[in-house]
Amino acid sequence: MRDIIICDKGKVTFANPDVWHLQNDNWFSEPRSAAQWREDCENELQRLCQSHYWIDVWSLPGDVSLPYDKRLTRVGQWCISRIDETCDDGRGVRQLVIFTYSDGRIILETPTYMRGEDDRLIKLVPGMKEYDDSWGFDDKGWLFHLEDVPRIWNDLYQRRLINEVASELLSLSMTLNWQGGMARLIIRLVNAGNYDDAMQVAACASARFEHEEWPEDNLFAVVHRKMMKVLVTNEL
Amino acid sequence: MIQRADDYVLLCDGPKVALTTRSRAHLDDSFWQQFVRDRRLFLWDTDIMLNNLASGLRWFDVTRVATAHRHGDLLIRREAGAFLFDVIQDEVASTIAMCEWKDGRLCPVPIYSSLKCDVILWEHLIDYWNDVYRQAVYDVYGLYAHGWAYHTLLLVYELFDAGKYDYARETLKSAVARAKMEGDDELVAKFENLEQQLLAR
Repeated sequence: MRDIIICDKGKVTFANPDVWHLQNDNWFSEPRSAAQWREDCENELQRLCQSHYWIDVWSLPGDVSLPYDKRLTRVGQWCISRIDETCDDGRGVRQLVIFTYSDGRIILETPTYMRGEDDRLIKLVPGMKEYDDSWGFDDKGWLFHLEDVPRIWNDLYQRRLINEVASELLSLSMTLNWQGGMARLIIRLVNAGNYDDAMQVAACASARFEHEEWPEDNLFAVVHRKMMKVLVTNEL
Repeated sequence: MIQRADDYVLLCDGPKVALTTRSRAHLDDSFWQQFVRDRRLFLWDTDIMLNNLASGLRWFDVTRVATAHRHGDLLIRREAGAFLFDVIQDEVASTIAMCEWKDGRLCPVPIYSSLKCDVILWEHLIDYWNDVYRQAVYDVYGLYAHGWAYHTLLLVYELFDAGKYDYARETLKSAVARAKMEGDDELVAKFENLEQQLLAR
């Protein structure tokens, strides 16, 4: 289902979040070196950009003297509405665009976007002088800027790697001594996305393990070292 | 109320000035200590804080001053390429700051007086806030606002506040061990002291 918008400055494409790997999927499950991961991301982004049809929203008609339906462009279940309105000071034209999604049952409307520097889509929100109180501003996460996609992928990949590291503490977390408590806390912190806190707890637990001279291998030291590597280099 | 000269702060934003107090400009520790003590309050947005502060101040554009102008408690005098700022208390004027006029903006210059106040450029205010916040952290925890000890300390408080007492206690014990392994006796004492405080609560 093409229910999200990817925008590259003033160009947009309607896409499927699975295809763009914007949620956890198998693409993130294969461990790679940092260099390989960067290369895979670049290739995948290029492939996705080339396989989608992009529309320059600012080239679509928006003159308010045109009938409403002439300012609409339909693409599948999406509709692009353009408006060129005169600025309050009478100088210049403010170019606006709104996207509407309809699947026959529900109609969803995105916030209003303004043409910004480099043709970027600038979301209008309360507090901006261009904002109109009759508009909505909650975008429900439909629109993604292309430049944010690699960061989202990195975050999802990092989450997968750090979860894999934390899973090394699973058996220890079943114990009832202080080590089990610390292992459970580290796993909870990782699940909550507090990676730095998790890494610091692992370092503290590792120091305690050494200080108390436990005879076994120091699993906390291993987890701490691996977490630090994942957070710094994004590789295991 | 009579203010001491060093309680005053002169804020400069391009050609505009506003005389205020250190506390109103959030330059005293007590304002920031509330955020330090409770991380849940730590949701401030500097843009909003700056806007609120800016809109609550009485700004004056110094380019409107011919030779002298009284603006509330502030007397602004223009002399050659500079502006002198006097605070008036009980109808007595005392010079507390001086700025040169360069490229359409005010630039503070030092004055040699026991009655001077801080002159802060608006764009530098956030840096001052960061400094005061760091000082507030130190005042409350005896730690600077960076490094593993500080982050672990905040986590311990968060766990404690969330009712996760076992996690908080075990994390503290582990932090003590880490500080011992690092040979930092001062930090060991701080964590042990905190452990006693939390146990008492």
